[in-house]
Amino acid sequence: MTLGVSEAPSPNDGLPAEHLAETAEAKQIEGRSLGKIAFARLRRDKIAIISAVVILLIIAVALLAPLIVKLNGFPPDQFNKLDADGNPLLNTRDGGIPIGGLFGSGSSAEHWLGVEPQNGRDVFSRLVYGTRVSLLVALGGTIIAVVLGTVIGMVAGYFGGWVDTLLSRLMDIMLSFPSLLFVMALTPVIASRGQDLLGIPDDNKLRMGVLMFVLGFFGWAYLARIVRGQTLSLREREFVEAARSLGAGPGYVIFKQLLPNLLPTLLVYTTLLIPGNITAEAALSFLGVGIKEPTASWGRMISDASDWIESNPLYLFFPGMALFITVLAFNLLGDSVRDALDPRAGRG
Amino acid sequence: MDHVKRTGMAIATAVTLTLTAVACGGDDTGGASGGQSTGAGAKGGTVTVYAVNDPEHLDPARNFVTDSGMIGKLITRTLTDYRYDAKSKKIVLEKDLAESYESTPDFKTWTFTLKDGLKYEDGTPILAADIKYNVERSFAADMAEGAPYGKNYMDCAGYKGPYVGDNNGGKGCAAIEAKDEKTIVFKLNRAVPSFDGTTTMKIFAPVPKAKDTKTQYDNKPVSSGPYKIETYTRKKQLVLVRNTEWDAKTDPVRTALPDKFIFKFGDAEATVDQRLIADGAADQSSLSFAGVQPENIAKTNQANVKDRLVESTDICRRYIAFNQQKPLLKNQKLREALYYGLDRTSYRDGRGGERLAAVVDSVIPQDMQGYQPEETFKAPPEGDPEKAKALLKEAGYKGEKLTLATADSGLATKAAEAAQASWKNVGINVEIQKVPGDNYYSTQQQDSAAADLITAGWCYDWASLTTIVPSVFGPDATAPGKAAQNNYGRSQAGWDKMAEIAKESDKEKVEQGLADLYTEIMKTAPVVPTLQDLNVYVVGSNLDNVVADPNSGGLPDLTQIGVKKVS
Repeated sequence: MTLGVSEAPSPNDGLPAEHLAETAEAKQIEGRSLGKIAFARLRRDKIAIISAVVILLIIAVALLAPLIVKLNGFPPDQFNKLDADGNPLLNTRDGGIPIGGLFGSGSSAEHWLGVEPQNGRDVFSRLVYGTRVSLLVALGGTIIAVVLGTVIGMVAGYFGGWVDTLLSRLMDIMLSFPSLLFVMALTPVIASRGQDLLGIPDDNKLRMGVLMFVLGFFGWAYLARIVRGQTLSLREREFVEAARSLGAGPGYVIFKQLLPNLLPTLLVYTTLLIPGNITAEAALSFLGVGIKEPTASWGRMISDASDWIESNPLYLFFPGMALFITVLAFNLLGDSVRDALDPRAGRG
Repeated sequence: MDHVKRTGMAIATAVTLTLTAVACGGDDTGGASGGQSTGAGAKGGTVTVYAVNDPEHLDPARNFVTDSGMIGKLITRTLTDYRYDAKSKKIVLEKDLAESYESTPDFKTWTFTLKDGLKYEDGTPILAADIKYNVERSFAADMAEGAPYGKNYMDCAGYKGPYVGDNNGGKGCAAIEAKDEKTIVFKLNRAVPSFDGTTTMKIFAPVPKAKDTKTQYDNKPVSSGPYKIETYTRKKQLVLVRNTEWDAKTDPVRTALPDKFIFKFGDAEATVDQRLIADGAADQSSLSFAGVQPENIAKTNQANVKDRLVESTDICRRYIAFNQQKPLLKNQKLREALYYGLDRTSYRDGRGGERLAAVVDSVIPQDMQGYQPEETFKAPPEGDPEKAKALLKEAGYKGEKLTLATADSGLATKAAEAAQASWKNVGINVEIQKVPGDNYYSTQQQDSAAADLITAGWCYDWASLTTIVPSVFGPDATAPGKAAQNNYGRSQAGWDKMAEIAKESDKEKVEQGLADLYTEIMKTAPVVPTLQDLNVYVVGSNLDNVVADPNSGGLPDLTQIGVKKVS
């Protein structure tokens, strides 16, 4: 956690601004905001840099999926039966296991990570397209959770009284929900109701929307609690008192005074929410309530592959690794961001 | 959720609702008695059977599914029954409870005489009136899961079963008459030349009125067969032990060698595969109702597994119906494009590859009388993408999305994905709609909820086209203009001809008429026949004479099984 500063920071930018007031560079440092300081710290944090590069790479893969898949020439949903020489890819007499390749994965110069048993779809292409689903759902769910959590947390913290009591109990209720079970039960219901009542076709757009919604809906309470706590302490600070005594309304105080001070907290929890949501999306797809066939998703690849672990372990390894690396990168970056933003961490 | 057998719900579920898989028959030599194939196994021992699902209904008035049918065969006997003769590979119709039977020349009145010395597990005699009583029970609304042939064939319209009112003045269904303790007469509302096949249905088993507990009877039916229920914990375990009142001499269908059967429910197929492949000490007398899963097929080539394999086929056929209630699919050209566009070899691989399924060209089994090779479209198993594309153009298809309904099980979904991919390949946009297996067919039977393209399966009830063509393509008997329950394509082709054939009483003419009619109907491309299931079972090394019965959905035939060494 404190890696960023463990390598004996130089006094001028390793410490918060107020401590630097007496040093020679004070003038030079004066104008630096917390954001700038944090960014400088992050830049010196090797793990943060590596994580950020990995995340950028993953985002690039998601955005450029169609181009990347053109490299090997196999669309993710295409069933492949024969290789370039006309030899069969799958042994249909043995349940459809891939022929040859590393550990029976069917990997070759054409199919870099092998092919799926039974249908011969290219694992690499599906992995690349699976990135899109994972990231999109996780980011969407995170945004919903952050917006809901911030608004509800600030309202509870700022207004206090019965509003606070009501909203805090709501947070308690949400936090005590067995959310994964609930989501599993809810997702198919919402999807089918969407079709019956609103006439929205039960396609992947709806499914992704539903996934984002449920992840957001069950993810906001934790953040709201933290925001509420921060707001409670912030609203008693002198600058807020001053603004209020000058006649500032709640809108002004919330948006101009509280929100900017909450941003570091929000940033940290956002980066930490994303990997949790990626895992949750994969878990839901694994359990079969995620997006629909044939769209590739890591969770379902893992679910499909788990049946074949004995004859084709690599089929499980690749999506598992992709999920692992992505979640790890987001987690490490989140940790680094927290360390960089937390003044106390610097003294640790 | 319910894979009654490996391949899952599609067919098995269908069976639950409407059809059976319990019966069928290849050889209507109705009467050939004896010829009982005695397994080489010793008498005694315990056989353990793994099944994913609880059989649900053992009450003979409600038992109408492949797996419960096989278990039911050990507990209850029917007037006639089919026996699969593995040596000649024939399904033989045997007289089970019946000593003899005859019909009037118009096939509308059938008289059965029971054998001597038949007893229930408590030693009381089996009476003709008990069979009448069970057929009457099948009319009850509470027993709707069972075979519909009592309601369909008996000439007692409006009868509602023995539990309603005073049971028709105590007379019950007047079309069934128990003349004396051993003679029962059925008066039918139509000519049924193959009624001796109908009487293999479980609704023609005896139920003693005094022991009837209505819907509770399901938990402990009184045994008329070689085994009785010792304990039964739903969804967990069923233990059958020998019924000492059963007399082997009266029974040409069952050898009943083991002393005990233990059915264990709920273990996942793949787990059971592992146990049976390993053949540990505890599993040497075990087998599974679920066949080997695709991912484990390669292991069956191992030396110690190879000689413990049982492979078979069954009488069921899978197809995809094109729902003609949908405006798009009223267009024959589009239906033909779907027919040509489907790569049935990919579809087969989705269901586990060549060992577990084979491509078929007809809903009628190949070895059945009346089967004709498909010669209208002559679509190759891989499909014909060029032709499909040309037909799509003629059809004026503009990329509208079609939904493909499938039961929510692994294999069914994989197959649906294969269909989706091959149709996408010719430019048809298909979206998969997964429906939980336990209400898959009931959903597709509702006009409002049915998908555009519907995967389905059908097992004939006995070897007659009268249990295939009218069921899969015919009208509903109760409402004019409505398609039959299992006519998922809502095809109306050939209904008038079907009505004509129903009046015919000459068996040959009926079968030939329906065979020709089937070919005519298929010219309108109402469905595309896809697969027949093959079954691969690994069985414990101590089991003897394990044969898969094609007549019971290809399940291992428990009536013939034995153990090699009784420990």
